[in-house]
Amino acid sequence: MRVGILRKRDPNASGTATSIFYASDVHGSDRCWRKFLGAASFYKVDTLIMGGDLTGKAMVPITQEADGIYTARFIGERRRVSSDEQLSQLKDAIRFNGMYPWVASPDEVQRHRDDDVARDQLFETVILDDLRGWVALADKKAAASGVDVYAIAGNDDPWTCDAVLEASQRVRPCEDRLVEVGGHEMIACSLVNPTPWNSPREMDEQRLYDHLRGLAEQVSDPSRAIFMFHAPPYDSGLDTAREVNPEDLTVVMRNGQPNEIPVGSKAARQIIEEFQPLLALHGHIHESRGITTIGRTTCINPGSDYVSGRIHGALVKLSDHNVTMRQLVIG
Amino acid sequence: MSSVESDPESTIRSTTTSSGLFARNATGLVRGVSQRSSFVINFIPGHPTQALAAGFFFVFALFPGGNYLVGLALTIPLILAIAYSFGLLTAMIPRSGGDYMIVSRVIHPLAGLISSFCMTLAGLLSNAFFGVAFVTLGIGPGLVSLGLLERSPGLINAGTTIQSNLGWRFGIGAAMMLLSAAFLIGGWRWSLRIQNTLFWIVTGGLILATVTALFTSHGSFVSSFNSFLRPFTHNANSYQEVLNRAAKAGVNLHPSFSVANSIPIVGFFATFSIYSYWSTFVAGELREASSVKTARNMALAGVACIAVVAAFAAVYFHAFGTSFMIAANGGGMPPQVSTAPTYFFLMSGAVGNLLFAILIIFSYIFFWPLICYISLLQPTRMMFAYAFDGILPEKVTSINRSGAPWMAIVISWVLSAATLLWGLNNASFFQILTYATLIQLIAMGLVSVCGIIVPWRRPELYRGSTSQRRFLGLPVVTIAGVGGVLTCVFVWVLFFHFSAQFGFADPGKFFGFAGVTIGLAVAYYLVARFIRSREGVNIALVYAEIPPE
Repeated sequence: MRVGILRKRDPNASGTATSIFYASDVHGSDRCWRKFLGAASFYKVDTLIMGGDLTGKAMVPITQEADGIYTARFIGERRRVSSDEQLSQLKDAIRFNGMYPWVASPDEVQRHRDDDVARDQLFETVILDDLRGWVALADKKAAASGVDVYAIAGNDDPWTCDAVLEASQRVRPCEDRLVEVGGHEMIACSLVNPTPWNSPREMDEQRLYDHLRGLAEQVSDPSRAIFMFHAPPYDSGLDTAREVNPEDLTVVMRNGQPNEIPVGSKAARQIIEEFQPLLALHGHIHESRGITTIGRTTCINPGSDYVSGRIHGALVKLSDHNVTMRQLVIG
Repeated sequence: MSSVESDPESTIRSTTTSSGLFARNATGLVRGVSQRSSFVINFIPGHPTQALAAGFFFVFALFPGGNYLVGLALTIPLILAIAYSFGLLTAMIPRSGGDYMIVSRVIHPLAGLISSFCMTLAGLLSNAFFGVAFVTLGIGPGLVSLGLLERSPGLINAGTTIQSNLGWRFGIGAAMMLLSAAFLIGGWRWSLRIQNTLFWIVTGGLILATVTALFTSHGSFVSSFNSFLRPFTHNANSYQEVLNRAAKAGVNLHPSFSVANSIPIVGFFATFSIYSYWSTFVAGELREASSVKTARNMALAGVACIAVVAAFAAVYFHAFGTSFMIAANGGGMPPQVSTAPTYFFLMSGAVGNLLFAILIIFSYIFFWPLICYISLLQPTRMMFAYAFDGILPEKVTSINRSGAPWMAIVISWVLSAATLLWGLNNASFFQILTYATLIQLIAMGLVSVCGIIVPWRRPELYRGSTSQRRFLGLPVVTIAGVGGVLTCVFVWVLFFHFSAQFGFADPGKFFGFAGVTIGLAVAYYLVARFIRSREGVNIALVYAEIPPE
């Protein structure tokens, strides 16, 4: 008999195991989305869960000049390319950083600079077209591998994204509903407590609590359930960020230094404390990657660094009533 | 069931940024360390205070005829090569953990561990050096200087005693390390406030001393120096005595310019100045880390250090006299004066004012806890990266209310204090510094290799970064990497060639030392992989990149 560290622990020892790869906040990074879909075979898991914030935050206009030269300002540098191959590389670099390339004539670029409505519409068109491409790719890959894929949008995703997810054949949308993941009930919510950015999906704490409670009460056995809330629980160590002045979006300084504060959701925390699910999956605060526990609940925020082209994720194995393995990875 | 209707007001609202991007309303990421603070972090390892007080003038006695301006100028390419290797790679992989993060992701996790073991050991040895230096270059000489100024045998005796007594050196050195660890324990807000405050105190003290020296004529200095030391040497011309003693000991006080002796000076300067990449260890906390500013900031900090050293050294040579500085650092100081001829000692004597002396001495003393704090950033961030990668227990990542990794900080302090104890019992002052430099060059060499190969080994990272500039058809990061490798080899060769001058008594012993370190890294990797596999965790997955297709 082997003891201590030499004793082999069987992750499947206490019943049927469910293996999950969880990631969040890919923000338009085509590479991270492809890696997310490839994670099932790579990590040998049977379930993929995406915790929201699928869409990119910025678009890089690439101006097509009359002489066939393309110019763009990108990550603080002015890029100037001429050949199709160079243009393709520039677009890839922009996509790699989670932004959308948009090629247009100087007049078109200027018109969209000046016209807020036209620019908003352009954003929506580009985002949804891109997301449709992602969903089609997911349908194709999931059909081939048989893996289960679950996804919600996040607070930064326009509401119109939900319809794209709903239209998928293989990606199971789970926003605001009870779904089953490997024999475990799961509820999910993309809403977050208010942010200084006034992003598309925000709700005040009291309404958010009522909303989450309504969802949680549908769960028959919370001790075996998964709660996927895009917002991390307040003051959990998974929600530390710099305080931002809501008026001008500048960092709040205290004694000459940025002030760090917990920015998660009190409602999410209260629901976790009251219902004590087996697992709580979060995202939203990219820089607060980690794993913690609230009572018996294992809470995970895999963080995000989508501009590096590496997907931050968490591997989790669940038995009937236990989290038998959890590991943060960067794929 | 509770449900939420989509809010028609909560739709896309976009804007045009000053850089020409179209950005929409979405949450943003704000990192804690500004580029200004990162410049300070990069500047401190090569802070001119260290070079000017701890050896700069000493090398001219070792290598007569070596020209410091030539030496400093030749050091700049080394600084740039290392800074751009680290800086461009950090911009590609802006994660806290420094060399470990870069090497493990670009070459192999095992190589990353070897690099970080070498870097960590170098950091611990450096901390031991800082601990010793705090006593023997800082507090000890400071007390002696004040004692001489105030003609207080008690202060002189105290300064002499703590420099020579092992227990005092360990106790004070370890306490200084504890103070540095305390700077980190309060989180970034607290740390950066202390860091920047101490930085300006240290820099202010150096500037005060140098500006005063600038307005001190050579004749005035000679006169003041003689008056200052007369009660102790009973010699009306102690200045000349210093020159005579050194000449008698065989020190060449008027050497002609020697290219051959300017080259090893480069190696010596490099030990102080090629570490301007320190913000790489906190890259995950750095604002605009992905931009080319990260590399520029490192290069600028390194070159700024050298430029300040050059300018300030010129002032001191002018005020004190070149021959005198060679003589004083070549063993010419009178035996009654039991302290090194540091700039603060000489200027204290020249000015003869107690308040002035206290200001420049204490501002200098503060340098050592400041640089020790900077040095402690490396092992704490590395342990954090290890824990995230699953090769160190997660407990190590425990953070306190201020967000500081207290467990990692405590471990770093304990290891540093243990290294100090080892160093005091087993190695000479310069041997510790030499070991630290040479072992660190292994890590820096591995990072430079990453710079060479990254465009081909991690093409997607390279293409997506701001580091794609080319020179003569070659990626700049590759050129910087080649320069970095050559720099490491050059400094290594210098240290081994001039082993006696660098206090390197047994170079062969070093290879055993380095071999054990690398062996421990390999063993650690294998053991960690074995233990984690027993828990169902495959740590190879941490480093493995998912094929995007």
